[in-house]
Amino acid sequence: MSLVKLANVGAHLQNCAMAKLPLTKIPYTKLHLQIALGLYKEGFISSVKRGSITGPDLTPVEVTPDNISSRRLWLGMKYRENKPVLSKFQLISKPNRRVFCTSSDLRNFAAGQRFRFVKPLQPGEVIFVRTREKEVIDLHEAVKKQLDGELLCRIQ
Amino acid sequence: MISPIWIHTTTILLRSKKADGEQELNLTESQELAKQLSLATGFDQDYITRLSAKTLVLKTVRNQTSKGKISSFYALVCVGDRNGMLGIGEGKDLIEPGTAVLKAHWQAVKNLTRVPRYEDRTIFGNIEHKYGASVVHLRSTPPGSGLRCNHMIFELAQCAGLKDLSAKVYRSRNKMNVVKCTMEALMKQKSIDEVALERGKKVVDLRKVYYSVEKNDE
Repeated sequence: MSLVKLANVGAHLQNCAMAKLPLTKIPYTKLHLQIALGLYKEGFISSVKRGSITGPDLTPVEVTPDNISSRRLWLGMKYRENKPVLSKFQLISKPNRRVFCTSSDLRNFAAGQRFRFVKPLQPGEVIFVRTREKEVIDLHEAVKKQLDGELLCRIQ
Repeated sequence: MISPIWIHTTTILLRSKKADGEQELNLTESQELAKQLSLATGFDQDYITRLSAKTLVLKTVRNQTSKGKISSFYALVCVGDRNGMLGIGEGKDLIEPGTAVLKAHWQAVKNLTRVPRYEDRTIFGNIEHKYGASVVHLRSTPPGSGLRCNHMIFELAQCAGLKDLSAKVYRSRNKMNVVKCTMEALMKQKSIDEVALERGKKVVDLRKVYYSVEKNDE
């Protein structure tokens, strides 16, 4: 979908981490949901909840064309020993310069090599890849399944 | 590689005699110092005596007052046990540079903190840190690479017990700021176990699983 919106989400999460906010809302889109679920699986955030502008929904609310504009994704931030768990969220593939990888390139990148101008993988870093089927998965998962993809973002 | 000549190696609490012309610190005096420091910090007296210290910066600084320029000596000392503990301290004295170095040494021992190390030889991943106008890029390197870095970072890494490191200092290379930047950068590290605890993940040592080889440091 929109990488511009994803970049804004990245900046917002970094700001929330610096401000030590417990809960934060991001726009409700398919890409954001996929990324949020990925973050949750990796353990960067404590919760993913759908909600409105005011707060997460306590009971499930159906998304209709009437309420879509007020729908948001609420993410629970994690902190440990005065440090945020999600401290950096940067785009690799940007709207002005997209970054696509073949399966062999992804393998080398996951092994620690630099991929063109993209800096090598750091210990504890997570990279999300968007495959040809528009599925957002972790880098190591993509390497296992031998898929090509777009390097979306890197999270630390 | 020839080390820069201007670095003064003043290991304060030496047991052996120093070269002619240099001031010798009395054994009892140094022992007294170590005793006071151990009371103040809680470290063992023997441990403090065996710390390796390095004077990184020693210069005269001037303060302009109504009475004119008053110059005093400023020293920046780094102290470490070459096994993961590192501290830096600053000291100033009006009359003698030696006293400034002593004060700095005292502060450095008080500021001793643990530096996270991967396999007890290098840092975890790459770090980019900015302190004032100094930007320091620290990179972890494979075993046997040695310390390929700025001379200030070299001394800090040696005292901390880092054996393999690659670094580059951008923008300002002011010695004092580079040292402070590197200290902050080294403390900024997160060990793999810490990251695993934060995210609720399990850490698996692949070397142990696939090759049944234990980690060198443990």
